[in-house]
Amino acid sequence: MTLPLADLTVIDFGQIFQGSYATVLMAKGGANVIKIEPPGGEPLRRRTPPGAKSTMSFAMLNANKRAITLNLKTERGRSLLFDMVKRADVVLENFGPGAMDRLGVGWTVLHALNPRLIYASGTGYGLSGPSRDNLAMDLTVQAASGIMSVTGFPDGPPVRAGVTVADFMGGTHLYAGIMTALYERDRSGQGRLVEIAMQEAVYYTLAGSLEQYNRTGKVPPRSGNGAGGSIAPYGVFPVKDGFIAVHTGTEGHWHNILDAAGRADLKNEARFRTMHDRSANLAEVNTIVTAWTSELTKAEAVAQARKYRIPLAPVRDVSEVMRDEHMHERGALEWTEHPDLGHVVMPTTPLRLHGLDVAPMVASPRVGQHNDEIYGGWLGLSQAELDSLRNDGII
Amino acid sequence: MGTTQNVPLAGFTILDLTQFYQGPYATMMLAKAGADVIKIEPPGGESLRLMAPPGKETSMPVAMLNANKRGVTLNLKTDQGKAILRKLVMKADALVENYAPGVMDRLGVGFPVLHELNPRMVYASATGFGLSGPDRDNLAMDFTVQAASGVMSTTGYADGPPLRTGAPYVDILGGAHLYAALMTGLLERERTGVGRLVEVAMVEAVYPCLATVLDQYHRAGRKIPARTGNAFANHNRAPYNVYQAADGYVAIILVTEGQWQNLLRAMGRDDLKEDPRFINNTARVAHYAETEAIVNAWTNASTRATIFAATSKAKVPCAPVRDIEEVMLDPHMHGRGTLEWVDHYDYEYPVVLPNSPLRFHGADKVATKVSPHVGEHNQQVYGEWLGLSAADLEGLKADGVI
Repeated sequence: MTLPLADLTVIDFGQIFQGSYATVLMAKGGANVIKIEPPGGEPLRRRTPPGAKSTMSFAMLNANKRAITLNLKTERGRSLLFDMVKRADVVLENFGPGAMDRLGVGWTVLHALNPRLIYASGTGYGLSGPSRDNLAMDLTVQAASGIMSVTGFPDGPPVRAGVTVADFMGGTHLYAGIMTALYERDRSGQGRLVEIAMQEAVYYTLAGSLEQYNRTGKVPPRSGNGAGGSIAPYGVFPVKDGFIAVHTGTEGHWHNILDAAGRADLKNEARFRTMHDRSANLAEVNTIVTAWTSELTKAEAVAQARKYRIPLAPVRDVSEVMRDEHMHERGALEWTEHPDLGHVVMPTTPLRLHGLDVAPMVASPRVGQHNDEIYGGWLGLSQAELDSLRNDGII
Repeated sequence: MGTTQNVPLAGFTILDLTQFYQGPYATMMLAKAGADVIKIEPPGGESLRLMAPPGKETSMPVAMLNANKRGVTLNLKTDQGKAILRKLVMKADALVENYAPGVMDRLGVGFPVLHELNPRMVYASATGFGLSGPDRDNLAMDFTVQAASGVMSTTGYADGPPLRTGAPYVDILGGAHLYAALMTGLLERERTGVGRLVEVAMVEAVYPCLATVLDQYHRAGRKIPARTGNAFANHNRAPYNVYQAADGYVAIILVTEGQWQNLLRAMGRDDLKEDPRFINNTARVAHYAETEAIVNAWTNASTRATIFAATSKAKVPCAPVRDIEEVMLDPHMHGRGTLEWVDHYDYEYPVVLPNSPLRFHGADKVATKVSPHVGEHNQQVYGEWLGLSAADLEGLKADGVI
């Protein structure tokens, strides 16, 4: 087994989604990730429904990690953290700005203890600036960052992306920043404070909308599933068993649609010749496309797309996606046994390094599951010391 | 480039064959971290340039995604063009491309060929569905991957169609993963000396985002949750929504039980503090419409600024729904140096451009350079770096190679 991050030790204070996503990517790359939670468990565990032992979210974001508990509000707890930090490569946290400093375990303190340490901070708005202390969750960052304002129909309210995109965007960038700092450390010998703000991580997704704004001087209206009049056909079209999304990139794609639709007679029709012509006659274009799609199932539409080279995709629900043959065949998804959830599909990692392995699935740990292993085995504490730490509420 | 030393990727050279959003986003972040990124375009410019207004090479996406890169042109369909690429590969640390699967191989410059030439070079590929598997050749854009990946099915309202997220985050998320994979490959190369083929597929990069929805699916006994607009899946949390204010909208989300008491204080509704209908999330979910009505009654009558001030004081997570102009002018991001006003040759007025979301404390800021003209650095790269003569360059230009 050859893993890209095999020699890396990560102290993981990640909670909920953002921080935990960065560290699960490291764990899948073979890093030794030690998840540190307060004795009651991190907030995501508290969303476990009564009677259940875990959730899919927790299982996905904490696979391949070892978990220990630690009460940082105690002197002894902080001293245990210092012992671990001296032996670690990375500390990651996504608490509110300043939380670690107030506990006396911020970047300045840890850097002095271990100058080679990379310290990664993930927040909503960053460690500086007037919005620094605004409370940040995915929903509020979607609102503040502008992405919600460009989603929805022109006559309706702004709509959130149904998934927590700001959290995951932040987590991916955190991982990216840490790898960069590790690479630099190989040459400089020095660790860095690496910082990601979710709001900044999603800013680039506004590029197209900002272009329309800069060209017209006006904030463009929301355009639902349309392209705001620049691309046609473009949209979500009905099929017999749901919907498909069609994105016509070139004039050739339009001709391919006409071939598939049995409407080759329209290839020379002046009203539909260029993207501009079709945008000007959008209702007619959409009628032609709908007449074609509404006679097909999703599967038939996909088959036609392959045959005629048409950029379209079925709108799939989560149960279709988690059973996707393609991703299972590639090893991106796998069926695993989780002690708390049963037989479930889990992702491996989107980061694929050919010639290297991905760490085999290890189910997400219970709270404090590896206390003995880490504090006893790694730090060398005796059984008596472990007992006293437990009794004193430190672990 | 390469002159500033206190930046993480100083001295790192990257060949950037990327186009549109996904690939260029990854290489832009490399450039902003101090790498020398050479963007290689076909002589007419990459596909994204074609969407610029007539007479211009630049749109905001081009400007944002290609800042701090050097630009050269190269026709990879010619033998001479391929020979030049091979020379560049000998001097590079990494090559990044996001053509469809197999395109580089068909041109004779795929990973196996280039790896033979320079075994230390990391080769990074980004596609919609990956380099293998039955969907490999499906045509992929952000929009179709939003559909295929399941994220579109979760966006919108129960009584309406699935809805695209207006910001193409699947492209950008794919690009962020590409950067992440490339840096992992580079880090591993430092230990082994071997450059790998690293690969990211958009459909896989977005899968983890489904975590909450997959959780709701399993909790409901393997039943797909209906779309819920701005509310939480299955309306299982309250308040959790976008509420109409007098001058727009605000998002309010409660995470802890204490925050309900805080929100009541902010709304001036302390009279409801002990009301059993709202005493915890379970009770509020059982009285969902009444809970929502209480919050709406308050927000409808107030401005976003008033609501935000009150919730901030009471420590309730809230944000105004901002439009892109407000975001672009955000004093916070300008104050942090995330956003800056820049003069760009293709705009008659200064424009706001972002820096990289990757912030390395103690490192120097890489000074912003605007996105290059098509072929702007042909002379610098082919002449000064590869050592071709002025006559060589003229010949290459005349033959349509650069």
